[in-house]
Amino acid sequence: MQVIPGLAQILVFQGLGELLSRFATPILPGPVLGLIALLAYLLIAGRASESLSVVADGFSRNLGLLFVPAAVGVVLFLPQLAAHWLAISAALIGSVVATIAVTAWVLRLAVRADRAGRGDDASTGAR
Amino acid sequence: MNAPAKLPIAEIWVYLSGNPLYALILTLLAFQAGVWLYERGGRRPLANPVAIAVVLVAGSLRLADMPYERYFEGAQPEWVAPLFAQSVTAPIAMGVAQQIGASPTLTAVFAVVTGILGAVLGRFVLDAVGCRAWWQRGFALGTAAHGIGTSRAFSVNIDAGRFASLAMGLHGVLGALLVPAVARWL
Repeated sequence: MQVIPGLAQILVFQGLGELLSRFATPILPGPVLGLIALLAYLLIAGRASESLSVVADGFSRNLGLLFVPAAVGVVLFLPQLAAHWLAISAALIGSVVATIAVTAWVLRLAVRADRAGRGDDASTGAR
Repeated sequence: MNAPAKLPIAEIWVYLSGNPLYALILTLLAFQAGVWLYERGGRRPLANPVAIAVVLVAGSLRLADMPYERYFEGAQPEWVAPLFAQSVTAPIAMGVAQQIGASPTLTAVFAVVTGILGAVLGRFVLDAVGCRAWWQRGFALGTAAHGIGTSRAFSVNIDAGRFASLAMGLHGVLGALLVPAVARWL
């Protein structure tokens, strides 16, 4: 399985994004601009290469690993977190539950509007 | 040192903690253990691999009396940093934190805790609101729980994972545009 071409493609677009961010549009971070540029390229190309799919899927499946070092920073804040645990838990749990519920609700409304707009009744939820 | 077996434990530890490779190995082994427990436990959302890894690493640091800063430097060598930036939500959150004078480290911690909570609670919330289509479940998880939710979505269903990636990317783009504007009003 070819891994290098996909990795190179991702990093080239991220590098492009970093350059754009530094010299053209400092509002958006480089990785975000790279993401938009890569998406635009893929839309024009019409398909993603097998190598790119393999690398992107591999990263996406294991994204959790990249958060571990930052999350261990929790040890620095244990006293503050313990002092305000109720407020912090309420804010975090409340916002996460609300975000998931609202996103699901908006998607359902959008799918309904989409179907009504096209007048078709393809009731398969898979895409 | 021609008799390595006679090295005192303390000296070995000074060597180990001074070498960034070992912070990286600790992180990888902890994550591997987290994934193993998650798989063995039937991929139940409560056994979140990231949460398990964080507890293991934090416990090891406390046992070894190793300061977090030294661990973090080792766990984030140059080649990991750009990959970390790939999960667009983290750098955006940290950039906004700096703008409004909040601690970037604490912001990163909250971002990760949010991701874990989303991955853990997602199934129950989505069941409660009657969201059944895999792509919609994944999209909601990617929106709320960024990279950690996306990992979780991929482990449950491939369509859910791909739509979680899409949602995470869209959230990153919109977040970068909208969050600084909103933060000005707060």
